[in-house]
Amino acid sequence: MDSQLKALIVDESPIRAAIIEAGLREAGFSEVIRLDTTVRLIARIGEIDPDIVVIDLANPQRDTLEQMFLVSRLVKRPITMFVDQSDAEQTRAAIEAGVSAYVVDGLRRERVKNIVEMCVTRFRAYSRLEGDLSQARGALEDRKTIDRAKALVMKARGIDEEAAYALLRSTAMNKKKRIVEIARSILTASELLG
Amino acid sequence: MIDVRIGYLPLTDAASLIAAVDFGFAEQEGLRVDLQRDVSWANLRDKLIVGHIEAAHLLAPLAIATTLGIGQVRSALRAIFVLNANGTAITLSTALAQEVEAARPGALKSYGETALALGDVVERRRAHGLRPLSFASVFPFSSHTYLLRRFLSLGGVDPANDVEIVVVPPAYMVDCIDKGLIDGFCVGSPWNSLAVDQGRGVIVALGSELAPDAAEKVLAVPATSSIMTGPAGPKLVRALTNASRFVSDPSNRERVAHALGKPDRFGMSAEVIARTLSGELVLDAAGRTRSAPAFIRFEGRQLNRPEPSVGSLVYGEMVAAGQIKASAEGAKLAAQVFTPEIYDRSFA
Repeated sequence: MDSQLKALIVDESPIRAAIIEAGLREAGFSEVIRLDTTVRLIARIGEIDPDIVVIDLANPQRDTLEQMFLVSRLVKRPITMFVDQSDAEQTRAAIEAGVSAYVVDGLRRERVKNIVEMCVTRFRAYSRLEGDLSQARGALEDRKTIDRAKALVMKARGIDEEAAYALLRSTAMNKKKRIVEIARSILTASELLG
Repeated sequence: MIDVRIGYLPLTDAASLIAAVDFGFAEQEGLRVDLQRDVSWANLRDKLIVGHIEAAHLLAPLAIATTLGIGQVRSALRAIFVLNANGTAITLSTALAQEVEAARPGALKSYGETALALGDVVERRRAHGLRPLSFASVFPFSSHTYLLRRFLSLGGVDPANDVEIVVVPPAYMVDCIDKGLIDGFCVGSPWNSLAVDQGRGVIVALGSELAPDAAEKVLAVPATSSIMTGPAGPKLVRALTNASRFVSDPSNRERVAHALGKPDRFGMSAEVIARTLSGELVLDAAGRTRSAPAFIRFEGRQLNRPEPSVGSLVYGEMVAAGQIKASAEGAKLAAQVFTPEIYDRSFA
């Protein structure tokens, strides 16, 4: 029975969509379809005829989905947004995590609850991952800036790498600034002075 | 200071709301407003219901649909301030506009003539076995849907059977025209003007002429919100009243357009926004212009005060569009969504 259920994921992020797809497959969905270019959503949804649709809240086409599920002749079976009246906390958690689920009428509530919970957990994990990644990118950029400033100081003062770094660090401490900020001002000054 | 989180979509009709924050009217009232831009009406509705935001810039019909439970969820909402009237327009794809012009030369000069010509086009397409035309609105429960239906009816086109009405987010309209998925749309400002500027559409009818001064967006809050009973409600209403006067003053237009266009607000050209604020519109790629002073209106007690009868008018549109079966119970609930209590308390 379950193996015949079809899931549709509408998500602009291919990585997150893959993470959700894996979760849905673990939950027993054999057919999981991912759509990212959602302009074609209107035409595709009727063909796909899904039992559950997971959509990323950052996608404006959520409004398109709502209309289709409401009135369209394209959708063969009634589909409604999953809201558990007995568990407002879950709905809140889903919105905060940035995900919404629409399910075909008659799908077991307990089962849907578990699926939504899986989506929430994975959406959250993905945001954390993204946060870590952008932090790591920032750190790498900082590292490069400091290295370039260090090279300039080495050349200007005729000192070695260790001494140049020590100079940057002590200047930063004296001025109560971060080393990268001192490095940035050195690079700017060097650009200005040629 | 009272903290209030308010969600909005990037549309000219959020001008009073944004001006209330960016020009200090909210602060004057002791409100610290966190304005949050969003991407869909469904998001604003859901965030409002679960308390992720305390108030939202919302389509008047959506506030009623949510209260009646005819959309995806049922939750009682209240409109405490009408943010604007009008501001919408109907745009046809350049290709369809050419068909209309061919059917009745000169028709594009008036919405009535355009509608009649469109009726001819629909007939001809049917006779030739061509696919039915497709028009986009921005949400099932929106004035846009009702305006499209009205406009099509003027030309003898049955909106339920002769054409298809779909929903497309404003930012995707031009893309959908390019891909041949839609032939026209009804959308708020400045999206019609943006389509014209990109050479993809011709503005053929204004909301201000099809349904003059109909309530468009409201500031909606949950019926059980503390805004309904506490001090924040009147403060919001006063801040919005002052802001609505400010944005309506032609001498502030440029500043307002600039504030709305900023990257952290709409991230759009201030020049296009200014055009929609003034109603000095450009209708097509050839640069045909039109001056429509009532194109969008923000100010005045008549407009801003939420009258229950306005809720009833919206309910009537929903019934006419076949979105809900008429009932005395539903009609009463719809009227209650527009509640003047807080407005009246604000100026007592």
